[in-house]
Amino acid sequence: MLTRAAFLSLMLVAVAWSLPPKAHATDADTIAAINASSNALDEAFARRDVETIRRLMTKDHVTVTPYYDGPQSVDDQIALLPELEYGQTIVGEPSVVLLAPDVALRTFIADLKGSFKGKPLPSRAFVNETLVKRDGKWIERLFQITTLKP
Amino acid sequence: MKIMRSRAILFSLVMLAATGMPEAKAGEAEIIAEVNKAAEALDEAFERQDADAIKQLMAPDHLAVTPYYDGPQNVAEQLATPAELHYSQTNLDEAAVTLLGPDAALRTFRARLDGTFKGKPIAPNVYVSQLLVKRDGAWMERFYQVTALADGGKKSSSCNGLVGTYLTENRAKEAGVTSRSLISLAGAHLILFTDSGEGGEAGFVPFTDGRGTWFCTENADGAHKVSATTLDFTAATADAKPGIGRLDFDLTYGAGTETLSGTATLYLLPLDADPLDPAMLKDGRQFEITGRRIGARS
Repeated sequence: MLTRAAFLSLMLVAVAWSLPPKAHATDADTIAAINASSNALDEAFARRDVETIRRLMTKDHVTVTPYYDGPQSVDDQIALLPELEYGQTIVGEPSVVLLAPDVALRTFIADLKGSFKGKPLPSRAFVNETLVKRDGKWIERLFQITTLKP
Repeated sequence: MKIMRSRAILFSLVMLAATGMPEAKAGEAEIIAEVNKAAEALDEAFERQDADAIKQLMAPDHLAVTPYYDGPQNVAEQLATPAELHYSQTNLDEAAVTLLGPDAALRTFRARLDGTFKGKPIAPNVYVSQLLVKRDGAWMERFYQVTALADGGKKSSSCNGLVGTYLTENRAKEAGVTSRSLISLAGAHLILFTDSGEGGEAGFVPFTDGRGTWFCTENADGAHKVSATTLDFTAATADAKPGIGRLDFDLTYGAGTETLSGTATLYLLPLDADPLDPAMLKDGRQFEITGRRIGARS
């Protein structure tokens, strides 16, 4: 017959056994939250929803691409929205790496379609989205595109 | 007991609020210095092609993405490429470091690259970002990305204000004025260079005017940086064979005074050498340059 203490010990062992999958699920949840934030930002750009764009980017956000004239602040990008036609098809799955509990690096290769100021965008690119968690929400701090050889 | 503990925490928080801010800022400066030190040590390790130091300063899962590599490169791939990659890098602004978290930092800067990868020229004007992480108490690079910027990433309209001809004084280190020059920054990135010592001063053989390319970038604070390279030819003499001279200029423009100041580094190469190959640039001789724009009479 199990004593109450022994029963509790077994319960603790059972809890300990169940923790690794739980911890894994937490990482998966975090990655899902990061992907959701990035996807929401992409959609906000597609809708040209300035309010949502501002909400999903840090105030000191920087965008660097081969087609802009140098690094762009949030205001710069919003001002350039009418001149940008941007479409991307992600090749494979985005990779999300947690660099720190509140810092994530999301990267992927994408086929781009569209134009900036009438000039076509590079066809294949590597995209870096660096996100940070602020006030419990994942938001983007850096967006950087590098042209890849086709 | 619980209340006491809460009060103790509250007291600590108040003390932190009262005294912690200056310390926090000082701490941040120290961390940024550590981040810069690690990044610079990695640059130097790549320059020395020191594989052990490179591995030590990069995370094992490091990734580098540049417009000249054939796609993202891991550590082993990067270590395999130095023989095919020849470039010199001139940072066009001071690196900006943002602490994204206690153990993660973003370091960014604009740079000019002169060189080749697998014999092909690499894009000269780039934006570089580095993500560094702290592992076991040491900062190391986790991710490195280079983006070639459209039109050099510069605000060409503001750089157009630098076009003109400048009369300069040139000083070798620990010496007086060694020569005077006329430097013309023209449209389409053309730079023309004429020097008072072209006839052959002490220690120099006669040489021709120089011509080359200049670029300008505007920093966030509005300052203009000029980087330029000119080539000229040195004459054959009884003691020397004909050759090529290369001058690399790194200058800052003073808008209020219409002046240029900075350095020029002179490289002398044999006539059959490739003066555009950074690997050929050795034993540069540096000069300090100050110049002012020649104005027209009104």
